[in-house]
Amino acid sequence: MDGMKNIKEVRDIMGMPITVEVVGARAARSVLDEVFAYFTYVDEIFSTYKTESEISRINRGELSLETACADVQSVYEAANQTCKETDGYFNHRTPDGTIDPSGIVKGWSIQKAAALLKERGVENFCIDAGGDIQTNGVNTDGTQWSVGIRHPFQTDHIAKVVYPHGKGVATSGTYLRGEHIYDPTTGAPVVTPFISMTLIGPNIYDADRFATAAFAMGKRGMHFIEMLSGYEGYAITHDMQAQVTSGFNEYTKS
Amino acid sequence: MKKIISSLIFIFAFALYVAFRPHAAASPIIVSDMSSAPTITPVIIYNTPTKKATTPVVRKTLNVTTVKKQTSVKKASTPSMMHHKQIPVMHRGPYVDGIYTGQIADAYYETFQIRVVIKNGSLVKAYPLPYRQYNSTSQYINNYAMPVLSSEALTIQNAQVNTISGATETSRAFRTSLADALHKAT
Repeated sequence: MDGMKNIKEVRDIMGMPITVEVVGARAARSVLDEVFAYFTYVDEIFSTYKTESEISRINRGELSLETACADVQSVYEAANQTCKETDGYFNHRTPDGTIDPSGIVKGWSIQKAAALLKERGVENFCIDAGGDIQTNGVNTDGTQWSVGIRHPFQTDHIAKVVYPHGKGVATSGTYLRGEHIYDPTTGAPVVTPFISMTLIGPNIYDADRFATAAFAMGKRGMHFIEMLSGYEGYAITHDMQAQVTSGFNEYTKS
Repeated sequence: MKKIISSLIFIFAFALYVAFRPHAAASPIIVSDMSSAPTITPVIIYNTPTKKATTPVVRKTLNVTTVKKQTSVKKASTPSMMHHKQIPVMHRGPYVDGIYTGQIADAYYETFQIRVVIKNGSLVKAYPLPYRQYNSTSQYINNYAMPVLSSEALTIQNAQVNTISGATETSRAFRTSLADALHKAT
């Protein structure tokens, strides 16, 4: 089968490489530009690294949440909801009292970018923002998109291949920021046997936020995923084993 | 019946003795001492029973680290460099034997730190430090009854894929911190 028309581009936005690939008749350069422009907009609004972003202004007390833009308000709501849904294991409030929504913005913005592509009539695409992935339809070969799970130490290699079939794939690593690795219920540090935890969920927004929370739960994180309907997990342990939830290997079939 | 009662009393008395004898209180004090250490405590990730051939050496090294941490808290300038006395140092590789901790590398969304183990002058292990502290309470909480999830061996594959999941940023930061740790080992 001849490959379908595709355009693929990587740009560095939000401090990470973002790759967008579009496939099929509706694949066009202008659509890619629109998606990247959207990520740039998100960065301008939400970056805690940019002094003039709305989040930075809120944290300095110059802007109130009520007067912030609709996107900031909806992300804030989403973060609050996730905090509740995960018993506080997802927490967007930093120890010094400021808000850091970056844990939710990544998945949220990929989700929005995917919706934008569908609106433009693009049915086949793959968006990868710093290792968090949303695919739809088929790749340029006309087959299911394949996603490798990066090997934690042999970073040029992969440990597993999955076919998400339009679901979202997010990986959370050991290297989470300080506020994420303390158990919010006890204040005690979380001892985790995992180096990384990869989640396949209904969409990238949900996969990403629950991957962050589940990882912060330490050993119980995989239990949490196992109980969560519509989610499957693959975790790599420090002693180089992989732990999988009961339905995970369904995704290893193309 | 009398025998049973008297033996119960004896057991109770013995239990009281065990609970209140002076040495019994000593070990919890050490534990709390460790958990209140301000910076990096030795990583106990590898202190699990299922280990490969190199592990006893590593574990020993970590124990040495623990002792040093507690006795020389003021020598904060060289906290990451620990020479191992039991093992003869053979400089076959380019590095000096010991355990070294790299700088905290920023991965934008995350920060982390690498610790390396140098043996016979060569890098034998590199791993991230996920926790600043370790205590038995959190370990107890995390060991709380879990359902059995299936395990499989971690494989290394070269398969062609459309894209890869896993934080590329952290991989970059991993290398940054690793390079720093190795720099300290030279």
